[in-house]
Amino acid sequence: MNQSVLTDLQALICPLVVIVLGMIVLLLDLGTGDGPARRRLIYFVSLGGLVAAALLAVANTTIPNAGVGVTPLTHFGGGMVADRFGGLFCIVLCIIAGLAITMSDRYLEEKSLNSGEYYALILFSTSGAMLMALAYDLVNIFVGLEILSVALYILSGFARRERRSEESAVKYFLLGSFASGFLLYGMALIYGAVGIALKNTGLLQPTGTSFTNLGVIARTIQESAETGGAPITASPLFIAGVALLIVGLAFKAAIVPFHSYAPDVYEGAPTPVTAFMSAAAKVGAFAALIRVFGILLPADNASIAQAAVPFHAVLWGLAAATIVVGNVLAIRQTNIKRMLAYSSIAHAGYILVGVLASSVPGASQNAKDAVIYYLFTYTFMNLGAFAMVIWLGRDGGEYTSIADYAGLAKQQPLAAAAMAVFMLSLAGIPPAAGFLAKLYVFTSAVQAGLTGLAVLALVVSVIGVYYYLNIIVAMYFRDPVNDFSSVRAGGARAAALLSAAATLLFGFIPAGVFSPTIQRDQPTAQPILGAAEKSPLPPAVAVVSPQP
Amino acid sequence: MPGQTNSLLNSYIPVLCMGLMALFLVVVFVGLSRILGPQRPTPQKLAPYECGVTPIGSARERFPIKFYLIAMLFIVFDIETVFLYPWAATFRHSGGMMLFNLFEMAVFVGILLVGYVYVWRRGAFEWDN
Repeated sequence: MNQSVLTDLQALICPLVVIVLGMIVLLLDLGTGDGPARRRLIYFVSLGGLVAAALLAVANTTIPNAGVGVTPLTHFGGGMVADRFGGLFCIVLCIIAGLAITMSDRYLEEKSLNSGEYYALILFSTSGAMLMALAYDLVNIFVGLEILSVALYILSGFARRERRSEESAVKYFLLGSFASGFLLYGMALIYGAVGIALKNTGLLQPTGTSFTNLGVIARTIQESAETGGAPITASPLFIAGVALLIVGLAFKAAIVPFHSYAPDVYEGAPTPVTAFMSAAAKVGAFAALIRVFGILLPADNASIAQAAVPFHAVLWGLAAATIVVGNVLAIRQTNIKRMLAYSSIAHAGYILVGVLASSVPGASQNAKDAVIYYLFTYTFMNLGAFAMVIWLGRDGGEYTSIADYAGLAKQQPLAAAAMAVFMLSLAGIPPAAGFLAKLYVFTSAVQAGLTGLAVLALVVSVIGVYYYLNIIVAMYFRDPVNDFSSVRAGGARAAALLSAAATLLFGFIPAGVFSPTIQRDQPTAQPILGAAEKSPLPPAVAVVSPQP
Repeated sequence: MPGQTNSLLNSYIPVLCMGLMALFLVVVFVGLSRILGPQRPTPQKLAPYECGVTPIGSARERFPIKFYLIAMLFIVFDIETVFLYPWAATFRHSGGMMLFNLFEMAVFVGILLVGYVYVWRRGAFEWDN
């Protein structure tokens, strides 16, 4: 018994370390003595703890992924799972929290927001996203989501003397709690559908069966299809539940048409918080989406796949709409935080293409790896771009208009170069990692038979090049309008330069980082379009792709 | 799946019947007293409270935000007690898991203790601040 408790705790070591770290930070801030020195201690304790947590999560990355055909190694009575997928998500989240904290120091001091609660809230929020990635039960996913969200609501209103920050917090809280309601309602309906199916097939065990457990749900789907009757994936309760689940998670990942809060919230929140939530909330939501859809809509059984087709079409439509709307609306933005908000919506669309591909059996592993690679690069380039905004500000203010950055290259060549790296990477232009991330995601989409969606995403992402290059043009080819001679040093500069280095590094040596499966699963160098035709897909899924 | 759905819904028919009964009784009683009863309103009869202290002013007044803080803290520590009671009632049935269950509750109380120290040192219990 004690042995199993220890292995349970060991599997969740990364989020546990982060939670304890948050509590330590909270208590450290209560200590008497010099304020700034104490904040400095908290700053470094948080960063050190996150590095430790990331290193501890590395151990999990050797465990095979849970999924169809693989019996997962579950913990805490089947409620949590530790696998490669979850471990990599924990590492991404540690990096996100670490970069967000690194870029906060001077910014918080100048705005006199520097308090221990800020660091503790970021850490608690991170632990929530980690729990989402490690959850193997719908209820645990919900609890993780709430831990993530509640801390984010407070953080987005952290500059409570500013009206914009207040507006941001209220909007995010009202819409976010509404979305949580949708998610919970969806889970309740799935619980009902699974319970009925288990009762009707006579497989109901008297006690200890959780109808929200992903393993139980997977087994029920499989058995309900094998016993000859209609699979539960065709029951109205189940379909309604999955639809509501999509709404709830799509809101957190800012997927069109549930994105409308994102620009206002991102613009109003303090910039390091914007940076943090633009990545952490998405990572958590996508982890849950991949985990849940791999189980709820498996495409490896013809009769189940038939029932899953409408949802593949729904995700197809959501991904296409997100890519188009995000990119088109970003063109018109003059505020850099709003532009990055729409750009992050567009990137959520690209990631959703990978998520959709991951629910197709032949391409599942590749697509999961592609999504994780995308999230890593997205973390660096997106948080880096926000760190630039903080770095170039001063005296508690920052330049938020894109026109303000004109002529930056003449005054701060290093900063302009770093910003150029982020913009090129976000646009997906070769030397930077953003190109490879897009390449992997679109390749896996083509492998999964989603050629139409991949082509659409490629064409629309060309629009993106316009607004990203707009900033580079302003920095390098326009005359200066602002004096950038004295800019903030400190954490924001460190975070920006670190991110720029990582973005370039990922672009140059991607294979060494963690794309082993992407290469291993493609034994012959056949053209990718040919691979799609030969892939052993059930016809039900292949039919979906040509439809818009 | 019509068969499955029906068997589920069938078990709710008694609940539906009870709801309809309740609705019927309420409508009949209130409706009959409205139709049959004599109606001679006076200002005293129409007041919210026929007897007792005469109300002064509106109930929707502003009051210090400190009360919200107290209410919030009460809920947090109230929940702790709510969890402790069922735990204590089932603890001796935990068999081989006894040590584990004790540890679980220690973790829970420990986390709340951190919160307690935090609100205490932040001065949330001092009314005059």
